[in-house]
Amino acid sequence: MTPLDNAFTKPVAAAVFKNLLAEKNIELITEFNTGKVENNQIISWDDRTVDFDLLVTVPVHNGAECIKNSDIGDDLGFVRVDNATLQNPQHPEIFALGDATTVPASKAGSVTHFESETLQENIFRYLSGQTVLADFDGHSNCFIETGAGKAALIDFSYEVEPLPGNYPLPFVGPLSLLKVTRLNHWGKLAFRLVYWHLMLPARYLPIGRHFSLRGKVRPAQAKL
Amino acid sequence: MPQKTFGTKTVEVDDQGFLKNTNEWNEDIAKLFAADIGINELQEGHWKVVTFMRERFLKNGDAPSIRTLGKESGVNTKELYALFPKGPAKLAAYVAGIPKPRGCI
Repeated sequence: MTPLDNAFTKPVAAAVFKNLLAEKNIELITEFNTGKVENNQIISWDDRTVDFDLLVTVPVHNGAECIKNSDIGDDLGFVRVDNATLQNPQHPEIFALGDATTVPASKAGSVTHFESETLQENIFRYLSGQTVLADFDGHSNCFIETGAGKAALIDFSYEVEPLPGNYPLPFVGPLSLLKVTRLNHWGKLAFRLVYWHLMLPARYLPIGRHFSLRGKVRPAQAKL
Repeated sequence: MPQKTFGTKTVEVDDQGFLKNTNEWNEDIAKLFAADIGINELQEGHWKVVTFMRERFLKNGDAPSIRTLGKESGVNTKELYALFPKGPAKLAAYVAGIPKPRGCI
C-alpha cells in the first residue's frame, strides 16, 4: 500500500517498478492512506480494508520538533531552504542539508553528499560577504535492492526524472540505471568500501556533484 | 506552457496540471477544476478546506500537509477524505489553484 498514485512519483521509474512488483507477485494498492489498524486489518481513511498476517509500516518522515516550533521550518519540521543555494530565505545565516531540508530531492545519503559541496562553498561565501552560489541541482542517486542478489539503481535531479542508462560512466557503466542486475547489487556492496575508505576520509571520488544526462536514454513516453 | 480549457475558459497550468498563476484563481476557476476531478458541487466543507489551503500557501509559500489540514482547517481527517476522496491535500490544492503539495520523491 502506498499513499502515492503509483509505484514511484515519476512516470518512467513508476512503470519499471510497477512491473517489477507484478513479476514478484506483489500487489500494489495506491492512494491508500492508513487511518487505523485493527483486528489484523488496515483501514484507510476512505474505508478501504486490507487483511494482513504480518504488517510492516513506514511512519511519516518528520523533522525535529524544535524546527516545527520555530519560524524556519515547514509543517513537517523540515528547514526551509532555497533549492539551489541551501540557504534559509528569512535567515541568511542559516543553511541546511540532508534530511533536514525542504528541498524536493530524495531523503538519501547521496543527496547530502552532493549538497555538502555547495553548502561548504556557500558558508565560506556568506562569511566573506560574497553572493552565495545557486548551484545544487537536486542530484540524487540510490540503489534499490530487489532481492536474490540483484539491485536496481536510479540517478536523477530536480529537473530530470530517473531514466535508463549507465552510471557512473556514461555509456560504460558498469552499473545500469533502472534495470535489475547482479552488478548493481555488487555495486551496492562495493559502495561500503567507497563510503568508508574514499568518502569519509575525503579522498578523490570520480563522481561529480552535478547531475548529467550523458549516457541516459529518454524513453518516448517520458516527459520532462 | 501547457494549458487547460474548460468550455470557453483557457488557463495556463504547470506540468502537473495545477493552475500556473495562483493570482488568476477565483471561485469560478475553483468550480471548473473541481468538476474536472469529479466534484460537481463545491459544498461548505470544500470551501472551508480550499480557503484554508490558499491562506496557508499565500502566507508560507507551501501547502499545508494533510495532518495540519485535519488539525487546523476545521474539517477533520475523516471528513477530508469524504470531501476529497483518496488525496485530500493534493485535490484541495488542485481546486485552490496552488501548486501540488510536495510529497516524497
